[in-house]
Amino acid sequence: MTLEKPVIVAHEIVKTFKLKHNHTFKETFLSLFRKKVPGVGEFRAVDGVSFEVSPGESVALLGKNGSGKSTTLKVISGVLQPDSGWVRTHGRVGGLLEVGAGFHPDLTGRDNVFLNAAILGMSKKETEALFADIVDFAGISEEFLDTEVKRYSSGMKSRLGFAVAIHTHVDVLLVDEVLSVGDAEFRAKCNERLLQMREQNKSMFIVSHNIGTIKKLCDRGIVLQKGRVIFDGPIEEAATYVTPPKRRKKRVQNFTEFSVAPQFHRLFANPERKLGQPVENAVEITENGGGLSQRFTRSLATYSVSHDKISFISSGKFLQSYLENGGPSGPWGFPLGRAQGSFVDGGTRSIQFQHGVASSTAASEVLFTPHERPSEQELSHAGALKTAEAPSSAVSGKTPANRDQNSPHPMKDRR
Amino acid sequence: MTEHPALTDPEYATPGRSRGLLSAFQYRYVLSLLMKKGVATRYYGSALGWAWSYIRPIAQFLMYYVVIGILLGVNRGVEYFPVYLFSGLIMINLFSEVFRTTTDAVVSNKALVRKVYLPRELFPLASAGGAIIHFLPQATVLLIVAIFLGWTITWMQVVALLAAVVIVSVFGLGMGLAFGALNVAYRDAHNIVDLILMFTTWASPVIYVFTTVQARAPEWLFHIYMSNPVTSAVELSHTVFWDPIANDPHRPEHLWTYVLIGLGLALISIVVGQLVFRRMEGRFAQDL
Repeated sequence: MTLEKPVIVAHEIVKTFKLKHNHTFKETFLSLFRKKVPGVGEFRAVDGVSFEVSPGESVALLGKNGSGKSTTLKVISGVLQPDSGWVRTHGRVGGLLEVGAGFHPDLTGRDNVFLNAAILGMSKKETEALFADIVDFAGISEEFLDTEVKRYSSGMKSRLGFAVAIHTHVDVLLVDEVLSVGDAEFRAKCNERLLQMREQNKSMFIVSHNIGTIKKLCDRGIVLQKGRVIFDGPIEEAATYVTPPKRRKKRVQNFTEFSVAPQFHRLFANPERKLGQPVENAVEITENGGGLSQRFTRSLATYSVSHDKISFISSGKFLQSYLENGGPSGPWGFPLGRAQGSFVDGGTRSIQFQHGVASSTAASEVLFTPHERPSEQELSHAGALKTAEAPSSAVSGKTPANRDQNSPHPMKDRR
Repeated sequence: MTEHPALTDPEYATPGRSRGLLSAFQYRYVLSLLMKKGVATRYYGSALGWAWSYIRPIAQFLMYYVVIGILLGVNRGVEYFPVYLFSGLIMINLFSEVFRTTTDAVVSNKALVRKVYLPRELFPLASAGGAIIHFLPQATVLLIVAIFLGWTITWMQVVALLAAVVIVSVFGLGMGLAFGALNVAYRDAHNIVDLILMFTTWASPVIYVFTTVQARAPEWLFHIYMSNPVTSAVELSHTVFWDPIANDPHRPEHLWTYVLIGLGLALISIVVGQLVFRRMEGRFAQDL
């Protein structure tokens, strides 16, 4: 009947941390008299978590960073005491809380193995019997065994720590985020060893973010969110709660009454582009080969039909100058690329436009350098491209102004 | 709600509960390794290594001997003053060592305390053990000198030495447990200990003879002075090393009564220390 008893019983565990520690005499003294206001300056890491773990069951504790996983594990191992609720364990509960926590850098690998094994609850005889296995598992050569641990590479250190921990005789193994130790080969060995332990009907309680490993090792998952259990059941289902956010990247939504032009949909929805929300409906441009432009709160998006180019300019001095000079329908034409270069160390940033290059340094204002008068070849290549010089262009109405701005000298765009 | 069977089932253990200092027996293997670790790493990386355990007390001894003994002329009144001085000093050193290292024990084992559960009393205990090991070379030096001066052994001396070591260690450990626990939350404790230790050398008849106090202090104060566990250990140490070679030693009356009082106080200190430690222990991992 003994086997039927759960190995871990946790009942309504609550663990609260003070966010602020009284470090000065004044604070300490005052806090003695001040009436305690519950919940102020406190953080509930674990808020009423209950579960039972049966013998031979392997459970994964899942959740985001800060959801209380490690705290729960520490309460089970006895490192932390719950503020309310209780935990009872049955059999030997071994902590793999941090690989090599007990390692002393000035002791040799051999001494550290014995010390760490003892800390994890092994007797001298047990350690001696397993010593060869441990060293072999860690893959530490004989010469390093009698070298101080501080001379080990970090990989060697963690491998040795893990090897010790995984060889301890326990009924319940607590594992906290240590499955990512060492190289791929060693990890495979660890996982194999954990699977072996599973077959030996040992219970496991694992905290990890590595869903792949966890799915292999565990059959049950407990999902924590803000210190509460939001799911407790089959691992497959539990894993869906913590699927990496990469796969369902948040797309930017349109919250305005304006509609985003279909050409800009992808650009707009990409959160990294930071276009902002539309502040108008797309405006059709007939000049400069035709196209679309649409203002957003943090940028201007453009689409040039003649160049079949979608581009955008983020708010800043470039955009300001561009708009002051007529925007896509003006003499600069449509932008043909993203800003290049960086302001760092006096560098120059520039944007290619249809009819020239706008550039600026951190200190200077934006200068627009028009291209030399386009050659016939270019003109013929550009086809529908209508420059300000072309008398037949659709923008002829604006020609006088444009011509005067199209002088070969760089112009100061602002006065 | 009905009570959960795990609460009453004796097969179930509560994580993080221990039997305090008493768990030292169950965990004696870990304790011995922790102690070994302390001893092995104490002089790690120093060329002279354990020689420092001899050099420090000898330098300290020379300092007191020259200044107090010769310059201030205390040695004229005391036969074999160097032996008198040194036998007192080793007890003070033992007490300082135990008190200081046990106070720092939990904090300096931070990494372990925060990650793995062990009865936390093991750390101060291991430190105290290390301090006693550290005491042995000093006692050996003194013993060799005393033998040259015609020292002989009796059973009484063995008992007295053991009693002195027990009193000082227990008292130091008791104080260290309390201050060590406070030290986790408030590192001020460490400085308070330094302050206390500054007075210890002078609060016992180490560099002067107890009659100096007896002649000046009112009787009740003298009794309090003599009841200090460290004082009784110092006097016991005088009994062990200095008494047999000196011709006309000044010995306090009722020494063994004071020893019993000192022992009693030491035991009280360890009980109080353990209670304070127990009380604060639950918060160690989060306060470190």
